Amino acid sequence: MRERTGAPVFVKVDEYKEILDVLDMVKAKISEIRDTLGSVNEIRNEEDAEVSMWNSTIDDIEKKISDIDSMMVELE
Amino acid sequence: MGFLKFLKREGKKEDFNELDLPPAPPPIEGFEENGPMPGLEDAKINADEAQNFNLPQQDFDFSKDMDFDIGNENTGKEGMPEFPDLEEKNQPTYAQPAQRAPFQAQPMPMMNVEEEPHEEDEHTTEPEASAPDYQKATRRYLFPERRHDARQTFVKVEKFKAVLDNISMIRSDLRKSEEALLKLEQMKGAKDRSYDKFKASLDDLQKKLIFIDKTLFKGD
Repeated sequence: MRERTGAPVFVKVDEYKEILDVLDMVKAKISEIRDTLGSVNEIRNEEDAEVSMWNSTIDDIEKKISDIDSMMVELE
Repeated sequence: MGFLKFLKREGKKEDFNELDLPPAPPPIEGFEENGPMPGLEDAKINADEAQNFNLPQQDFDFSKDMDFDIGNENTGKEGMPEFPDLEEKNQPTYAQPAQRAPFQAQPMPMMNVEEEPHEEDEHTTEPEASAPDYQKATRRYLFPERRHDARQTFVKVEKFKAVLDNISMIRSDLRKSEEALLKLEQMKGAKDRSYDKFKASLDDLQKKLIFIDKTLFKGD
C-alpha cells in the first residue's frame, strides 16, 4: 500500500464559469428576498400599530360602557 | 334570272400572267431606291459565278480536309494578318479574392496561455489542425468573459467537500425557510379570520349601541 503524501488532490470542475454565474444569480435572488423581508417587516410594524390603536379604542369603548352601566345602575 | 348571267365566268380560263398587277407599295421615307449597279444592268447573278466579281482570292482549298495545327499557327499562313503583340501591362487586371491563409491563433492580451512559436508555425502548415483553433479563438473573441472554458479548472478536494457541505446546509436552510413560509401563511389565514371576527363583533356592538340609544331617547 502506497504511503499518502502531502500533495494536494484536485477535482476537475466542468462549467466553472456557469457555476460562478449561477452563484451571482443566487446572490441577486437573496438580495431580492431580503428586500421582500424588509417590506414584510414594515407591513408587520404598521399592522402592530393598527392593532395597538384598536386595542386602545376597545379600552375606551369598554370604559365608556362601564360608565354608562354604572350611571344606569345608579338611576335604578 | 337571266340578268345574273354576267356573274358567271362562262368557262373562260384567264391566263395568270394576264391578271392585273397590284399597285407598288409607297416609298419609305429616307430610303430612296437607287438605280441598278453600274455594269450590271442586265446581268443575272449566279452563285457559281461569284468568283468573277473581283472578290479576293482565297489561298486555301475548302475541298481538302482541314487540319489545323494550333501550335504552329503562322507556318504556311503568310496571307493571314498578324496581330500586334500586346503588352501584358495593357491587359486589365482584376482584383482577385484574397485567399485565406490558415488561421494563426494569436495570443490575446488577457490570456496567460503559454505557446511556443514553433508550434504556431506548425499550425500554419496544417489547415485541418488550425480549424479548432480558429473556432476557439473566435469564441474567445466573441465571449471574452468565458476564457476559462478553454482551460480545465481544478479545485482542491478539501474545498470541494466544503462546498458540498455548504450546499447541503443551504438545502436544509431552504427547507426550513419553506416551512417558515408555510407557518406564516397559516398565521396570516388565522389573523384574517380574527380580523373578520373582530369586524363582526364591532358591527354587533354598534347595533347594540344604536338600540340602546334609541331606547333611551324614545321618551323624548
